[in-house]
Amino acid sequence: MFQRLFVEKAIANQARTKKIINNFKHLPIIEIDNYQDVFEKVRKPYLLKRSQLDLFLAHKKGSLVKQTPPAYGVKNEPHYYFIHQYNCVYECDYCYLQGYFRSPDIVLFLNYEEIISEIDKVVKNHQNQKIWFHAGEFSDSLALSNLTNEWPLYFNYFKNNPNAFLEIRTKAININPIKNLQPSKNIVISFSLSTEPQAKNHDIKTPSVRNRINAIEKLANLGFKIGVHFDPIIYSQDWQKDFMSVCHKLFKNINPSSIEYISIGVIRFSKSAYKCYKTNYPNSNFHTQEINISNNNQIKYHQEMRFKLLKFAEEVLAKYLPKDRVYRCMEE
Amino acid sequence: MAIAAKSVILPIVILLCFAHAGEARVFIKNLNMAWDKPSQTYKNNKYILLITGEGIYKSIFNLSVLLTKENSITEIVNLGIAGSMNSNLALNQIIPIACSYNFSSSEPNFESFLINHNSKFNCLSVSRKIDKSNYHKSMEYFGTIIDMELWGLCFVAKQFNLPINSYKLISDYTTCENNTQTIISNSSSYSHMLFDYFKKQNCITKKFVPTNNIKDIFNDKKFYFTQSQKRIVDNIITHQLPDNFELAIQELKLKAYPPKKRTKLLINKFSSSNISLNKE
Repeated sequence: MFQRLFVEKAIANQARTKKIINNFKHLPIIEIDNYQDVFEKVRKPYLLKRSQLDLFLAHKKGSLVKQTPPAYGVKNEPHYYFIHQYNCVYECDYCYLQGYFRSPDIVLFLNYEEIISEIDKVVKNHQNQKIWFHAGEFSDSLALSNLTNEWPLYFNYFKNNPNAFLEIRTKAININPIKNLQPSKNIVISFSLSTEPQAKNHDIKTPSVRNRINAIEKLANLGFKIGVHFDPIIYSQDWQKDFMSVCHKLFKNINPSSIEYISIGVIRFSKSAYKCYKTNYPNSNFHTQEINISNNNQIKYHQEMRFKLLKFAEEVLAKYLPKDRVYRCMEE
Repeated sequence: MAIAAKSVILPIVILLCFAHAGEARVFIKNLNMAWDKPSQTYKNNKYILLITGEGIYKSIFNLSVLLTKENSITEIVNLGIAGSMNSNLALNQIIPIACSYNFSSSEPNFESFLINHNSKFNCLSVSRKIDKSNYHKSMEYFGTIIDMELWGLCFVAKQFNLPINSYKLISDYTTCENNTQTIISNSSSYSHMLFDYFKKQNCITKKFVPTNNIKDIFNDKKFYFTQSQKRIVDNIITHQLPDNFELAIQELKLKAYPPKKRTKLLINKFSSSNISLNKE
């Protein structure tokens, strides 16, 4: 998967770093002063992730925890995300990371304790208030967690801070690193799902929808709280039928009480992400659909169509879950 | 209302770009190309051959001048010799380039150009000899093939919205003291190798370009295509463009149909007239 491994000199001799390096004995290992000396130094085209993907092990400096944009998660609760990785091994064609970073290379930040300490500072500023922390804003949280082995530390912290909620976002079915951890009411493993044709057409190199649902089932049976993101919804002629089908498959073997929430969101792009999307995936069917630029400079379907899709999704999901557990993501 | 004239399929015109005449010699001879004074290029009915001269600035200038005069060019292919920072690459090996970077100044240029995402080799365009400085050492993180022109060609190709491919023959290692005279004296042999490679490999990506931008139909809001409908229409345009295709588009646009119906009627018209759609 990776072509080379870049390691910051300052952390090269740490046990955690060495453990990760041991998994890549066959790769050239290059020590550098700072990951930014190479990562994003020049623009590395996004599609080079297919043939020239590099892995960086680094120590994150600067902001480790940030507030999410409005309308990000469950309403009326403060939401933050923490930065533990940059970029993703998967290649969903709509992914906003293609316009966000100037390189598709993966950076793993190994200073987990500092990230948790920053989370703790935010928690202490919101005493007695329910507060959310999201992992996977810039990456897939689980896909490489067998390498990072970071989740036991986070589980331990959140177990002792019941007002703080952790969401681990993923499309991966790599559940081994967490399945032996103690589930907690304030830790939600959330999976992005879509209709099967959409996943086949757009979620390149990701586990199939069926496998994702299997992983959800396994975790739910172990007592983990589950979140589901039907996001982004991309319209197609058979979307309604396909959406009903994926919901049916999801709830067939999973008790709705295991599902903490389901978010729904319609495909949207920033201008820069859309420019990259058009260049990287000129044959995507989204280009032939009616889209426009919204007031907040996002490229998406017109409001009527978005609301129609969201309303339909809400009606289908209402058959399985109480309404208050379904929310619209990034849509007021 | 006037209806647009029947589409005409333009011939493919491939622009072959070389830095030096020595690299191009066998192409000029074997492709029976003649010198065209007004454009300062060699030409036959399918290819135009440009000698850009050495360095990024000359490649930008000479390619830009040519493309402002020649609007029939559909694709650019760059061929030439290059150095390698990796001595594991065999000399005389010819490599398709993945991405082009510009390291010709004291700081690398942020802009890069993707050429072929399947290749593993990037080309760094420089303006001076590679030495043992930290700057040149750090270049290895970004690529191993060294030339002096490619980034300039890619820069211009992007401005003119033309696809570009690049194939580099490894002539020497940057880690060794190279002998410029030896490289010059080998130019004929390099030109032969490049030409043989060009003949054997599929160095050209475009099949043909329909005029009047018929593929704009996919962005035309008067039509709505599902993915499979788009594929069908794309196949019609690409593989067997019927004479009356554009006329039919114009006629449908004049009718007060919803976009989906227009698309359906268009496909019905041409898929029922025994046109092979090259279905997958």
